[in-house]
Amino acid sequence: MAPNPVLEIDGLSTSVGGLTILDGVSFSIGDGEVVGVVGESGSGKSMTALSTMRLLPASVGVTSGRILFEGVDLLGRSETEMRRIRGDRIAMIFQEPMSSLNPVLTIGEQIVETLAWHRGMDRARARRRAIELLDLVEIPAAAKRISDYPHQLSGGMRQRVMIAIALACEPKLLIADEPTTALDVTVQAQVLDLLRGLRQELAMSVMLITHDLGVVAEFADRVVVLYAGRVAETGPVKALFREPAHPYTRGLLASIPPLDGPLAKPRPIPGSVPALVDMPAGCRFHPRCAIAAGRCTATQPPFVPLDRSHEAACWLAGPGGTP
Amino acid sequence: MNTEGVLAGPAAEAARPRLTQRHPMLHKLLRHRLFVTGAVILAIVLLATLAADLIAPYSPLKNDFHYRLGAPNGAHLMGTDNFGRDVLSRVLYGGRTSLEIGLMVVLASTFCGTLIGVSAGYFARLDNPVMRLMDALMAFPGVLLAIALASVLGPSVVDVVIALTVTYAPRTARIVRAAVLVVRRMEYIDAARVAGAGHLRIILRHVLPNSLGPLIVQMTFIFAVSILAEAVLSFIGVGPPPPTPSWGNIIADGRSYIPTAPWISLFPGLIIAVTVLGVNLMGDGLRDVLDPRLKLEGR
Repeated sequence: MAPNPVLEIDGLSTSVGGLTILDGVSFSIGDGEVVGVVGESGSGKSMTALSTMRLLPASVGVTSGRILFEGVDLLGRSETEMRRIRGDRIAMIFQEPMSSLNPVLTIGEQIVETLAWHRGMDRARARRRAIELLDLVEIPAAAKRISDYPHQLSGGMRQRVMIAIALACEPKLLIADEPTTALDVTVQAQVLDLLRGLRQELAMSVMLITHDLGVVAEFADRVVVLYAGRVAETGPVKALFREPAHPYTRGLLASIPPLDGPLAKPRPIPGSVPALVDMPAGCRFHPRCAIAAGRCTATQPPFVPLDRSHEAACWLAGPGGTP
Repeated sequence: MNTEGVLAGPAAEAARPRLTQRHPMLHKLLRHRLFVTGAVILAIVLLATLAADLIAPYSPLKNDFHYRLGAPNGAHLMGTDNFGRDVLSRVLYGGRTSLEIGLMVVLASTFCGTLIGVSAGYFARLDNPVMRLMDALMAFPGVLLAIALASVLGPSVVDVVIALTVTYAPRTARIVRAAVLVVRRMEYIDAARVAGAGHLRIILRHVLPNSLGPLIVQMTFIFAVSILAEAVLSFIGVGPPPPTPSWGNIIADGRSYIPTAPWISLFPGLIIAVTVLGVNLMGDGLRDVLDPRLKLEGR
């Protein structure tokens, strides 16, 4: 685990109507670290982010666990305290830059609003700062663009504006929920470059939620692989990509078509994520796993440490693994 | 509303490039022929009514018993009524009462309806109880409810406004709620919440401004309907009390003389029709511009 974690999620479980969604999710994000959270749709990536923001839908409840942010449990904070933290200490950007900006306010007004609220800045100062921020996210002619409405900007530009709003108060942690999924590939690369530069400049930690392993390989320091509400494998990017220990991680990597070497068909993982009402016993991945046997179907596997901060929740992982 | 009407004139031509560059909606509105027609009609009626002191040839209350039930002529363009009062002057001053009632009903029902509609649409827990109450109010035919309320409250301008507000606020509430239900699920609402905004700020800055389209259209509709409803209430004697003229009670006063002096009821009736037409044209134009999905084919 990372030293001096900014965020430490410890045994987080959530449920809706008695059905468990997240089941004991634990991981931490160190100071200035980028942690990629990957998994298929329904694996619990976004739920983890919303739990951290304390913005879960009313029907979803946290049943156990702690979410320590700078050492204090966010789950114990009042709604008023959370409002102060959101957008100030922890910021978040979404997948859809097209619809994440209010169409009736200029982008300047939307940045100024956040600054005025969290920093108590007067309008003139907040406006100057907003222009700085637009410069920071590399929007050309920021002083002019600041009075544009969202519909006057392209998707990539809007995502930059979203990033500017998120960074307005220099947050300690940025949660990026599929920040590049809706963008063209070239724009994706630009936005990732931007985020990489900003993260260094502002010394902030990033929780990068994505299903795109390419983005993770390029941008993240560590990876958390989620499957059906549990952590399947976690480790440094290089180690995890070089020696994936969990069959699910291996399956994810095998389902990406290789860019070099002989042309091979990508091999998708058979089946799909189990439904909440129909969670298999034991390892939740065993019905789709090619090598599952014995204990896999009956008992939940423990975390097997592989090497420095690389571990996998699989009976077969590591040198002494037996089913 | 009259500002649009005024803007449709030559002043707008000069102001257009700068004003409409940033407001494409305004540009579309000014190019919408029916909207501009409606706005001009309403502007003329409004200006004439406001300038009644200057252009009315007689006092609306002055009796002239030598010239009762006089047919329209050069001195009395719309004739005189059974007290010898000049119908044109009464129509001009009566417009003030009628338009004032319309405006007050629009403001009051928009305020109440928006408050109720936003609460119901935004806070899911309030939705069902509040809207069922609104359904109950809407189950009464509109004018019938207004008649019942007006006869309980008694005839006065304020009571007419209250009666019509109770009648139309639930309809506004329903429209606002529907708009809020859509806007509430937009990503920029989540984005605002993530940036630390509370409910009040989200409602005022993000939900309301994005729900205004249908509300504005509804406001024009209520304005038109209130002018009509005032006439109905006056006709059955629960409108603004005489001798203050209103379009409704001028028609009501003239109803016994329709066979002999039809002009007493005819002219205010025509003015109501023209005004309501103008307002409805504006409403249609606003709807076309604000909600393109509803735009009628071939217009």
